[in-house]
Amino acid sequence: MSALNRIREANTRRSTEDSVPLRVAVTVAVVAAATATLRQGVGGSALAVGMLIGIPGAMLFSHLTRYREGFMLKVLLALGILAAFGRFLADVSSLGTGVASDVQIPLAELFLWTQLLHSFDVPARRDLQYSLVSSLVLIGVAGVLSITMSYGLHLVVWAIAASIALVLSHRSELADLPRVVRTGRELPSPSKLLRPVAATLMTVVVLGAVAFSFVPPAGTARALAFPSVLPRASGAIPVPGGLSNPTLGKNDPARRNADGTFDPGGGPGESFGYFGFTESLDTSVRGRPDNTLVMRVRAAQADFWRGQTFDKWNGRHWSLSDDRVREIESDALPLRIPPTPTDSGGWEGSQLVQTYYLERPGPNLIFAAYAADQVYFADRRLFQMTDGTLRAGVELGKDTVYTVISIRPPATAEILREASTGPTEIPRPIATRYLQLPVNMPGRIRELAQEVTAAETNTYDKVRALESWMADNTQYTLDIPRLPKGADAVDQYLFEDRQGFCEQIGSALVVMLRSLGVPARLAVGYSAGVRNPFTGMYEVRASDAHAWAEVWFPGVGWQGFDPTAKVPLAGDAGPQSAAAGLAQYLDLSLPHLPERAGSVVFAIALVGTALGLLAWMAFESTKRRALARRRWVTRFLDRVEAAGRARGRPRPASQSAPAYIRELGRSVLPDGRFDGVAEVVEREVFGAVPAGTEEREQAEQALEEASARWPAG
Amino acid sequence: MVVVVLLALALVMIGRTTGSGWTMVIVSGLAGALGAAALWPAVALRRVESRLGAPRDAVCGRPMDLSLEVTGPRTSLVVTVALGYRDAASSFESASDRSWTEVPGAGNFVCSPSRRGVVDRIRLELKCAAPLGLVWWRRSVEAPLDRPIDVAPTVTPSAVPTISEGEGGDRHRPERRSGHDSVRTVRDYVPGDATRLVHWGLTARRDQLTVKELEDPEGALLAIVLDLRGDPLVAEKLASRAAGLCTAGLRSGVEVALCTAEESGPVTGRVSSPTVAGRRLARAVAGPPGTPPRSARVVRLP
Repeated sequence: MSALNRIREANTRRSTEDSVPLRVAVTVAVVAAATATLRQGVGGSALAVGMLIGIPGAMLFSHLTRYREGFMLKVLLALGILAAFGRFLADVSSLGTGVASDVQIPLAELFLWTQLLHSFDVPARRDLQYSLVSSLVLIGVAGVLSITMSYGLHLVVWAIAASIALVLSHRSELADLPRVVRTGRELPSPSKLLRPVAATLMTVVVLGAVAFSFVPPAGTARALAFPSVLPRASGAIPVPGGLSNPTLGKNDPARRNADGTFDPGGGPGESFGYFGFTESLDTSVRGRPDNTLVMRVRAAQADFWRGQTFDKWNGRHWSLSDDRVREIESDALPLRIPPTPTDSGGWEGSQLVQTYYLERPGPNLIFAAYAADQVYFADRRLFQMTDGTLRAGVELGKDTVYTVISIRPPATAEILREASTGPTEIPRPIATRYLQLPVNMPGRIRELAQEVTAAETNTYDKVRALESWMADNTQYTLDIPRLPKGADAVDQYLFEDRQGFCEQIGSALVVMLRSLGVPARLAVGYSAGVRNPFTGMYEVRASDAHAWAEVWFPGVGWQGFDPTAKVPLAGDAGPQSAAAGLAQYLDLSLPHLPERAGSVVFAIALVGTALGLLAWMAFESTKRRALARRRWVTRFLDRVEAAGRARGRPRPASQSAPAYIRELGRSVLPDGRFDGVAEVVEREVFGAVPAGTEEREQAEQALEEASARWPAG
Repeated sequence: MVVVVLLALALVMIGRTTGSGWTMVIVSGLAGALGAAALWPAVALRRVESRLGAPRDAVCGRPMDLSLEVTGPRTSLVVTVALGYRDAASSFESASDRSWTEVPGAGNFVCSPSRRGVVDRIRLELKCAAPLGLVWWRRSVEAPLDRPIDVAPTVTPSAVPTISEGEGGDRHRPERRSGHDSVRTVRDYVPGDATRLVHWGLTARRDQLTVKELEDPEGALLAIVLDLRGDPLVAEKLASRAAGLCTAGLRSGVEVALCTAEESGPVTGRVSSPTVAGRRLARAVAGPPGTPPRSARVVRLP
């Protein structure tokens, strides 16, 4: 046998699938998966149009040609797949980055092309099942690429279509077998399909929700892909290593002129801007960041997403005592971040991979959990401050993506207690920089700190005692009285107003700890945000902008503390299941769902509902017409059999209708008239002349009266 | 299902390495789908009740109609049937291909007994994977029969033997041929009368179908002595031949007696129809056959 014949034999078609509904359901599933992938930025508009028209067209072609051998078609499709694979290889080789994440998009395009080409040759049920499985792969690829909730709509459509396809496929598989039992007399009913599909979907949802509570959360512990994307429009920062924050508008430090004034050309600050992302933090000023989504963070665990720290305190302002920068540049990613003299290092901490997806233009700070070790940043150049924080050399606009791998100190309460118990020697660079206090600081701050921590023997418990005191004796509010001129902000907060927000609270904690001889600094950035259990990402909003205290522990390094934000210690466990945070997310999201979903979704829902109703009405109308066309005897027999069934006497398949009626008349519906009813039915079924209207009415009357006299059950 | 499980595991790995929460949502959905695919048919199959009705007679290798009624939750089942023969107490023999039915439903189900014998129980094998068709569950229901099914052997077409042997003698009797029978009387034709008995001359004269009633001549009783001891395969062929002889004899108007061995011992008895002959042959077992009547022409098998 020649090789060609062998190939032909291997490709011999199996039993051809004729079910149009099954083909349509599979097509919908495939198109939903393809659309979901296209929405993640895969391919251009040409590919999108090609897929949306091509897949249904290919499916139609496949249906129309399902009885042809199609050997040449297979050859052409194989060539097409080879071409798509060749294009994939060309795309990958042209990237030249060696970063696995960059391969994702070409790989997704290859999947799309494969799916399209495969749609041309799906004559058999098995082929359609392959298509369904490959659509699962495709929707999975889209899921990997997706970071937003809009993917959920595609997933729901795909899940419904796939469920329907599975049900229809199973029915089609059964239909290949001889049917044992002819139930007969049944009208086509949508419930035959709708019921199992609806019941199945409900079960899938319930069991899926249970499974969601148990499956592990998405993690990046063994990450393969470290995305980093920089939009083309990203301009360079005027001063290399300088700070830029376009959200502050005219107060953007990058617009500062040489004489210290700001460039008047700057526009007003964005509503979501945070005044902490600048070179000096005035604790008497509080912007009003709104709920604008600033960025999404993909991370296995919550942490403070730290932007920068301040070490110099003058009683009102925080600033940087040392603004020198070190340039870190490399041709190959990742950029390795060396430890700074103020970091302890030396410990083997846990790795935390964070990928930041910026949704709004922001400061050029590279946010990272402490302490950044490697950064995947498309510009391949960063600037490191002496406190270890990082700045980009370019503006970070919307759609910027970068990944930071942090090595977090092994910090648990026990470790921190142990590290700070007994006499500790503070390295000079840390003591010099992080024990600084203003000379005119009111003495009662130190006295209060000593009083509150008198019973504590280690730094960790002292921090917790101070946090507890502030929680018990002060109030968190954004509406605080104006800070009097010349007043110390911490003193005013602790003793006069006893009201403040994160800047006051964080500053007070830092200052009191410094007064006790504990190195501390003020960090600004974002709190973790709300974990979206569906995307697995922390959604960080402008209102999550935050200031908190960082406390130095010997042998451990810097550890964030803040009584106003529930962020676990670095050594604490992260979320234990994929559903972690679901309740909180729904609580925050559901009230805003209508405004977020937008009119398009509602329009789709309305149109879908209307079409569904129209389809249902059309079906019901068809059903009524079909019922009306049925003969009287068929309808009457249905009623008789229903009455018999209700009384525990279903009609055996082997029993004729008249015999069954007579038997009912002698058993569960004892009525002498049933013999006459049986004769009427006999004449209707077998007689040359059907029974008259009067006899029919008598038969119906006999059935009704007997049923009423001998009720079921 | 294996493919789905493998894909789900792959997605877990992908989710754990890429941090994609959606993959975990898909994995949960797949777990839910597999759970539903396993749970629904299991529950449905457990709640399904079946009733089976069987005919009294069947012929080996020929389709036999069983009436099947299945009740329970709305689902669909694949059904196969296996027959339990009296001579094989603990085993069942497959007797049907796979067929499917809706539940609830009732109707006829065709199966084919593979061999001669007496079937006294039926095992119904129900398989269900509805509605998703990913996970199959199987349940066997053993249904005792109110009345055993006598599975007759297949009929090997045979002619009435021309040479016969009487019990205790070597008398050779010529075969009765049509046209040499002694006519006892004539009567009007009734449906069922053999056409060879039609008296065409009288029919023509009377203008009404008329048939002959023949005398029961000496030696018109054909005794078939069936001894099934020996090679079982040969025995089955002999049983088939005996069935053919019975049918041929009865068709030719000869009285037929079957001498066989049954579980209770040797049995000799006249058979009035092929059906009765089939029942006798179904019950025949290996053993010394009954003694043929003295006046009968005897055919011994083997």
